[in-house]
Amino acid sequence: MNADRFFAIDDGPGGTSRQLGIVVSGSLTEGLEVRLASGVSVEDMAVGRYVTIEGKRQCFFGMVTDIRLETTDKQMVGNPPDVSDSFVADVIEGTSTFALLHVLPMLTIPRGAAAQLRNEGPQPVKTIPAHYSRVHEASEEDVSAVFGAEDSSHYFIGTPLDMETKVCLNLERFVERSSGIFGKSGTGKTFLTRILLIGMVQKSKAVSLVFDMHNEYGWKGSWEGHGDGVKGLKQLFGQKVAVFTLDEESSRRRQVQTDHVVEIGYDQIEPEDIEMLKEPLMLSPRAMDAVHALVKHFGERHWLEEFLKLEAKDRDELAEEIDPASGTLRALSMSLSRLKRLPFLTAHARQDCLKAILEYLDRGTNVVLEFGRYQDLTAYVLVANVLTRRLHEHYVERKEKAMGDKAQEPRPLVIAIEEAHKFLNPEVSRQTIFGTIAREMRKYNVTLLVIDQRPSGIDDEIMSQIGTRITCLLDDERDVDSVLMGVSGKNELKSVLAKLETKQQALIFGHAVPMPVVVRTRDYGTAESYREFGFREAAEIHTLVNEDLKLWDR
Amino acid sequence: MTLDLLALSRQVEEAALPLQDAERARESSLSRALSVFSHWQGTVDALRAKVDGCGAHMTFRVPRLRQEWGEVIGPPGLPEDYGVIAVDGSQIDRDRHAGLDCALINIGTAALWYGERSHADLSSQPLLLCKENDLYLADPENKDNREPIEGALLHAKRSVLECGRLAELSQVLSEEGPLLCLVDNSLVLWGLMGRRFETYVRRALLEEYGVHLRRFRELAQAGKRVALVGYVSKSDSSQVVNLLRLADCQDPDCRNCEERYPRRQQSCHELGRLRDRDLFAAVLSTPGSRSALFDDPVSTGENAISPVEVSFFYLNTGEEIARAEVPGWVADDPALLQFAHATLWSQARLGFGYPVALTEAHEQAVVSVADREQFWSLIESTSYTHRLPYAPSIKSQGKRLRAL
Amino acid sequence: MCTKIGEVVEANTISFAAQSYELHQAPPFGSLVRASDGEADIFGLVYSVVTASIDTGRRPIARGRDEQDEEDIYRNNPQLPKLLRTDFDSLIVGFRQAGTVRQYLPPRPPRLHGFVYLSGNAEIVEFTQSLDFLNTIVSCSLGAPLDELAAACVRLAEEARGGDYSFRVAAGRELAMLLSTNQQRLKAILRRIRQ
Repeated sequence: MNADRFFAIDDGPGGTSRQLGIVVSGSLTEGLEVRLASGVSVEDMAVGRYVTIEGKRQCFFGMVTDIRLETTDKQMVGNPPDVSDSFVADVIEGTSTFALLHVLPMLTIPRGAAAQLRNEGPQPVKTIPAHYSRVHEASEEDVSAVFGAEDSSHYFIGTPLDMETKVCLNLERFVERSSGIFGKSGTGKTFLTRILLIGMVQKSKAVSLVFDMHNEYGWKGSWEGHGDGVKGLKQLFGQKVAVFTLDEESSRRRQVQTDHVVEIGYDQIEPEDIEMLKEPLMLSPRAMDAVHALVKHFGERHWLEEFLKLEAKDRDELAEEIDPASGTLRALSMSLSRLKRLPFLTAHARQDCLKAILEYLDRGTNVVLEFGRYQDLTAYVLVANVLTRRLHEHYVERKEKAMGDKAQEPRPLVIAIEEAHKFLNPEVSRQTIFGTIAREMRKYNVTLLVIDQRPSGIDDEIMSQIGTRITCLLDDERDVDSVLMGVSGKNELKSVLAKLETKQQALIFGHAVPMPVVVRTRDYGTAESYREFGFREAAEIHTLVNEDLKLWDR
Repeated sequence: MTLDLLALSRQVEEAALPLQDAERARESSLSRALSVFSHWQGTVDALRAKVDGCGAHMTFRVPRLRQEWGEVIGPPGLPEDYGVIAVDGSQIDRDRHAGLDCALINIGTAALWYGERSHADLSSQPLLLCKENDLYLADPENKDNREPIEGALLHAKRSVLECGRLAELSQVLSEEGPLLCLVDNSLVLWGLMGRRFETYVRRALLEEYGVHLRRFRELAQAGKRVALVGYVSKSDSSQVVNLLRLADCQDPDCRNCEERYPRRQQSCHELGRLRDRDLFAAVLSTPGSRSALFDDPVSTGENAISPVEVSFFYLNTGEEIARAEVPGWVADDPALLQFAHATLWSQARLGFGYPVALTEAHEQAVVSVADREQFWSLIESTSYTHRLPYAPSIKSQGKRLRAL
Repeated sequence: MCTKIGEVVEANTISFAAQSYELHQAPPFGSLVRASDGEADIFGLVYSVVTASIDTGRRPIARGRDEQDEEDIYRNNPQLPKLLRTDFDSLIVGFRQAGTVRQYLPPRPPRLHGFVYLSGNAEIVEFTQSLDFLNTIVSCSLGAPLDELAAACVRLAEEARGGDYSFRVAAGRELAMLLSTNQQRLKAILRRIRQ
């Protein structure tokens, strides 16, 4: 038998998949080397694509993470043959010169009748295929088999590179733990978040609370190059979504249907909230001590109100009483008076918005909190912190009261926050509520959905709690390392991550997917895409209804 | 043991010295000879008369003249198609130390055809001499008297057999075209001369020889163009030089010559240093040219040493002066003689100075050392198969085994 | 159609020597020839052709200084054809027994004085269906010009197939794998196949 035939292309088990080559070396920890068969052009290969490997006992599923050119004789590097001669070119292609794919094996799919009977699905890989196992392009059936078909708990998120198969996230698992969406600015995090929120509304039992810093999620969102923008959650889901706003005027101007205007009273603000604002308000540790002293002096509920009401002279007196350094109090006063400028902060809130939020959440209505004009960090951090702290208390209480009775337990809640590194960096994560939620709140059915462009700013411990990570292109090495921390096959995935396109491509790995996957995220914003999500325009519905009526008339 | 070359080289050196003197002397003889030669040109009749007059008193042999003896004849044109047959032979002599009494004669033949149907036939024919008649020549008058055929006699026998083979072939091949038939020696069996052999021996062999020679004559008489030539390379003959000596002598009578003419003796001896080939090397300057034809004075009568008349000429082959001997009927036929000259010269040219047909015949005849060994092995094994007593002598075994 | 061209005069396990029936008419270098051991047909590739004197002691000498044509030399020296012979040596590359062609050494060498045939196109095509023989050529230990031999037999086999480019490429690829660590040698052979 000619050696050439050994390397020749054959039909794969699926019959339709193209054979790419055979496994020639490799290890479990470092990945497999696949020699490309002659006739398969190296330029057809791409990093991030899937392949199946036919082992003797099982089928392996893996991802291409590197591509390399090789020659059998090192001399050919310094002394290349003349390939302008088509005969020479035909002879050496695939024989003296060949390409190697580096493949990271990730799953095994057991084969054979016994395995079918046991109904075993894909397993994480614990071994490697035998020498010279055949490697095929993964077929659409293979990808479906791994990622699951679209159904009530599997949500279509995007397509793998160069394929039309739908990659689905297991939403139940997605909301079981905190998750993160990362990527440098402009790579499509907001779109991704929207898509995931829609998925959670459609297919999971969880209810979400979105701290919408840039007014993207509630009613309408922006789309570069498209003046009309994209629909927000409320446009799609109507009553299932409640839009709260901090800035009524801004919302009105933008023609956003709002359900509630948020006011926060001074009596709702606690020292921990002020602690979070250390940076934006430029508070020294001394100032923080002063705050605690004020609370002791005026009491929890009134300290801020009273302090802000003080005249300078009274303040100095107070300083002497509780703190010899009057300069501190003066500085504190100046810092805190910035809070006075926030219109949504009043001495006493007219309504307890938190109670309103909780009621909506309990009913299963999702809540989006718009910030209107107030897009600076101070407002965002303050509001998110205040509200979340109280949510946390509520949830702990509810869960403990339920005492194992599932029916009484509160609904699973997902809190979506942007600029997460501000809340979760190592300095503050131990103290803030978000740190606490990230660490513990799984058991109270509260998880985070963090959206961030500086993942390296997030505390490592927190990051390790983030079960599912969806990352778009990142160019800072520290950010890349942070996102991939604790992931097996990290080095290979790094090179895959580096090759992502700047828009609409993401690498997804973690709890909600059986193995890392590069997807081209599904579209959002076109009429077609809305239909895909299951939404119809009013006019369309009207037409359909009329048609139905006509049918009934008969 | 190997040859002691050191000792030998000294002897060779010593031998060389007197040869130098001889060479100088030879040169002066040659110029003398040439002047005599040219002096006596155009005097055929006078010279012939002189030869006839005093030939009997000469101690040396002198040839008879046919024509102007200074003639130089250039090579004539070759016919289109012709053939050349040559024979040569070699022998394995009887070995008294061997187990079986026998001898081997191997006759090689080369038949080369030129022209349209150019082709060649090369072969050899071995003859084993082991019968009584092959190994001994019996005296017809005395059955107990016999001569063993070995050594010089075997050599002569071989020449006779070669001639016989040549005659056989020419009879067949003369049908296909004109033939030049060559033997590698004089037409006269000089080996039989001298007192060595008894008359009956000579007579028996010469009779056999004569039979073969006459077959050539018959062919010629039947109109076939067949020219028999005996080719002698590096001949030592000095017959024509003797003619010079005779010509130069005023009173040719060798009886008491010394006493009577001390000075003339000197001249005669001076000339006597030369051989015919030395003379004709100077006379025949062009390769391919031949000398005049001379008749060898060999007797064909009662005490005949040759069954036929023999004539000769010298030929410049390009490499040497060769002596070509032809029988009477060729000498008497100018066309045949011309044919012989032309074809002989062509043969010499093709053979780089020596007739190529003779070279090939020789190659066919040669018995190599290996062949020799195989011959004796064959004898031995056959003796063994037929349970003949084969007892090689101790000496021969020692020779063959060369044990240490 | 196979023509009888010579006779085996020497044979061993890996090669055989034959004398050509016609002077100067040996099979071309690289051609496929066939002899027999009495039962199986044994295939060889011609790797050496020599015309020389029958007698090792005698060497040919130039004879044509005065001749116009080379033919005249032979015409004027009719003994030459009788004193010369043309011999050719073949590397054994396989054999055919019971209709099956195998490309490894036969159990027995060809018989002495067996006829040697020059394989015709059909036989060449049949034999070269497998390219294993290229390995035999490339790794042979005889003092033969192996690279030239490999190229010559590929050229001849391609011709026998009526100029089949795909065969040439397949042979080239087989050689590329056999000579994977020796590109210089591969280059040299490919260059010769191309021509």
